[in-house]
Order: sequence, then C-alpha cells, then structure tokens
Amino acid sequence: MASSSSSSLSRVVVKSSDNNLFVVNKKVASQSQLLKQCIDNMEEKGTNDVILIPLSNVTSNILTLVLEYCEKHADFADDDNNNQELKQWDHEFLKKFDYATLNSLTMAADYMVTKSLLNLCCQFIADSIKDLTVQQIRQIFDIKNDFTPQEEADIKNENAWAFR
Amino acid sequence: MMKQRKLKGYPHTLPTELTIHTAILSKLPGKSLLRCRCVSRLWCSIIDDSQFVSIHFQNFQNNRVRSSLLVLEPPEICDTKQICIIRNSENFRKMSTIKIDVTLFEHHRIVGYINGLFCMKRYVLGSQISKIFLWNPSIRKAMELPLIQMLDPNELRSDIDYTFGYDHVKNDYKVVASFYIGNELYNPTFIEIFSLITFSWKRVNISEGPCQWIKDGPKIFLNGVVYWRGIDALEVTPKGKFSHFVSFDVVNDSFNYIELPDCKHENVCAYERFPIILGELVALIANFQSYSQMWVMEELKGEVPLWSKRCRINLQLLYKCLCFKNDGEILYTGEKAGVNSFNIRNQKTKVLQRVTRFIRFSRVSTWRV
Repeated sequence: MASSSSSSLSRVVVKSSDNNLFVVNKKVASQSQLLKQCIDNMEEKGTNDVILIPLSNVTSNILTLVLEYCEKHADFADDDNNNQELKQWDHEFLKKFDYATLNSLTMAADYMVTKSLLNLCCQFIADSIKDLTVQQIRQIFDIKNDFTPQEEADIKNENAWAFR
Repeated sequence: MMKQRKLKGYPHTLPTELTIHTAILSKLPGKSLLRCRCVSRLWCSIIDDSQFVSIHFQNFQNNRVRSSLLVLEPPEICDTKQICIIRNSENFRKMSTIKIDVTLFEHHRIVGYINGLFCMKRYVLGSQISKIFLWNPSIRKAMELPLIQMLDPNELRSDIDYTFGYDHVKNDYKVVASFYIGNELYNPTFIEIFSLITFSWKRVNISEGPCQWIKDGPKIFLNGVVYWRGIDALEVTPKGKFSHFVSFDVVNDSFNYIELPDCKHENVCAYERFPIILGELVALIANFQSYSQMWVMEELKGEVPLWSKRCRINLQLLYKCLCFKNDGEILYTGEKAGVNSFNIRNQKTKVLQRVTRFIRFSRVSTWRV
C-alpha cells in the first residue's frame, strides 16, 4: 500500500444526485477509476483541501451500495479476484437485489468506472436470465418487441431447438 | 427499500444501456443468445455483430474452467442421441450436456476439438476424399470446408490424414491434410493446409525429415502446435522404431521433428510410444511388456528437447485411462464403470464418480476443453 504523505489526500467527499454527502477514504474511493482520476488530478495540483466530487447520475441508495462494494474490495489486492471468500461475499451482496436495483447498480458501476463491479453485475444478470423466455427477458429489461409476428417466427425457426 | 419500483422503461436507448446490454449478452451461453435474438431488432443486431462475436469468444476463453473435459459417451441402447458432456476433471461432475443425433457420429469421425469447435470428416461414397466440417455444437451450426483441388487423378486415390489446430496469434483455425499416395505408407507426398481466415487450401511440399510419419495415430494439440508420432521404418535403431514426434506449428505453418529419449527397460525398447499432454507440457508414454514409462519434455531449446523420466504406470491403468491431468493425476474408468483418479505422486486412488449406467471404455473419448 502506498503510504500517505502529508501532501496527499486521505479522504474525499462524494455527492450523490439527490445531494447527500458521503465521506470516503481514499483507498476505498480508488476502487472507482472516476474517483481515483479526480483525486490524482487534485494531488497533482498540490491541493490539501478535502475535495468534493459530485456524481450527478447516481442516487444515494445506489451510491451506498457501490461504496459498500468498494469498501469490501479495498481490503483485497487487485489480483485477488479469485479469492473464495470475496467471491462468496460478491454473490451474497448481489443476491439481495431485484432487477431494477441491479440495473441501476450496473449503470453506476459503468459511470464510476468500477470495472470489477460492472463485470460482476453483468455476469450475475446474465446467469439469472440465461434460462428465461424471450417474453420474460423483454419484461425485465422493459424492451418493446419491434418485430412483426412473421419476422419473430422466422428468427425462431432459424434455431427452433434453442426455444424448446 | 430496494424493492420500491419495477424497472422503469428505457424511453430511448442510451449509449450506457447499449454498452451494458452488450456486456450482459456477451456473458450468456450460445443457446440463450439464439433466443435473445428474438427480443428486439436492436438485440438481434448486437448479437449478429462480428465484433460482439469476438468479445463473446474472449469471455468464453477467460471464463472457461481450465480443468474441464469434454466427454463423448456412447448412447444408451435404443437411444438415438449421443451424449457430449462437459465435466469438471476435478470431481468429474457434469457441467453441461449437449445431445447429438447418433447418425452424425455414424457417418462422421472427429478429427479434433478445440475451443468448443469440432473438426469432423465425412466419407464420400466411392472416393478417398472426405468432406471436412467445422461444427459448433453449442449453436448447432456446421460449416463445410471447400474441397481440396486435385491436380492429378492419382491424388484421388491417396490416403489422407487430417489434423486440426488453432492459431492463437491470428485467431485462425487450420486443418492440415497429409496425402499418402500409392505405396508411400509413411511419407506424405504433399500437404494441404486450410486456413479459416482465407477460407482456402494451400499446397505445401515437404522435405524429407529424419523420420517418417505415422498417419491416423494419436495426436495432441498444445499451445499452437500439433504433435504426432514419427517412425524410423528403415532401421531398427537402439531407440526402437518410434524415434521422433513430428510437430506442426499452426502459427508459422512449419513442421519440425523432436527426437525422443532412449526409453529402455533391461535393454528392451518400448514397443509403443505416443504423445500425451501433461498440464502445459508435452509428455510421452512408452509401453513395455509389463508396464509403461512416462517422460516429460521439460523444454525445447531450438530443436533439442530436454526429456525427463517422471514415473512408471501400470499398464492396466493405461488401458482404462480417460485423461492425464496437470497435477499428475490420471483419470480412468474404475470398477463398476465409475470414474477414479490415480495420483502418480502419492500413488493414491480416489473414487470420483459412481456412474449408474455402464459405459463401454473403448467408446468414451475425452478432450481438454
């Protein structure tokens, strides 16, 4: 771990879209490339003030979850993604949420450039929809069917076995 | 608190959503993807995009369980489906199953299996030339390769031996066809190499090597190189007849010869030798009347191999062997058709799986996935 010299920041304040403030320790914040970039920029300028990072796309609910994930993962090394305990924790963490929350969390992970969380969410969603029907998948992602009945039937017939 | 609302719709698709949907789709198995093409026009175009295909393949490469095995089991009596099962080689548990019509295997033979792709040959009636297919069982799509152009009527009567390989540098699949014409049992007259990228065959002449090739024998594919046996048919040297492995480097289209070590037991040469994969290394099994030796090629300096003798193996075990594992374990079919593992280092046997139905040993084939 890099030791914090006197000129570097130890904490940042992150503001959610609904104007709640979160004080985040630097090591935890660094899990997000977006926050890390902000911190690095400020450190380069030699600022000693605590900086405020507004996240206009992330609500407090979701930000709380992203930070919970970052806090857990900050305790493990970068190459420790195969750690069984961490894997178990990740799974338990995501298991609690409905699709709406998972979706917002995925968007936040993408926006905050937290690659491992983004990857984890996408894999989790993929695993949970892989056996669903087309109709169920449309419902979950709220996608409108823009095929004509004939087109849809044609696509189905191309690989009829996959729909059995 | 979290479950306060249903996912509200996407009035129009934002770039972020497109990125995320693409990322989720890229982690789905092939069968689910085929269904997802039906969801909307946008999803269908994402899935059919060639860039998506390569991302999907990359994910498959990164996430596959390195220790998994593809096991081709014979169909049950009266069943018309052959069963392909992906099993975890640690515990032999089933990870996924693909059922295939038995008729496919009656008329086709497997040339090789790499990255979830089968290379198969199908005999054409009244001709020595086979049709070659690449077949992806997870999306059930097959592609027929173009026929090899024959320059001379003699060539139509040649014996052809096929080899399947993957070039990880150019992401290309290659098939090598070696032509044995007339009485030339061991020396191919010429080679044709097929590349999936160019979708064509290319004729290559080969110069004479220190040994001749054995066609239709066991072949292994490891890190871009295919290995098979070479034979010294003219002289019976102290090394015995099997003097070399012939190798084909799929990346550079080059052939090489690797000298085998002197495997002797009380001055008697091994009567058979064949290549196997041991973890990430090429190994050699040398059979004697009463037991087998396992040798490992520790490194290859230029053309000079460094072989080391690892252990002895009971011949009975070898006959029932399903595969050799990285950690020095041998999986074999045990009593009552179960699957056992034998650890070469500590000589311990473990029962991995009791199989309820009888599997005929000779008909089970395994590939590393």
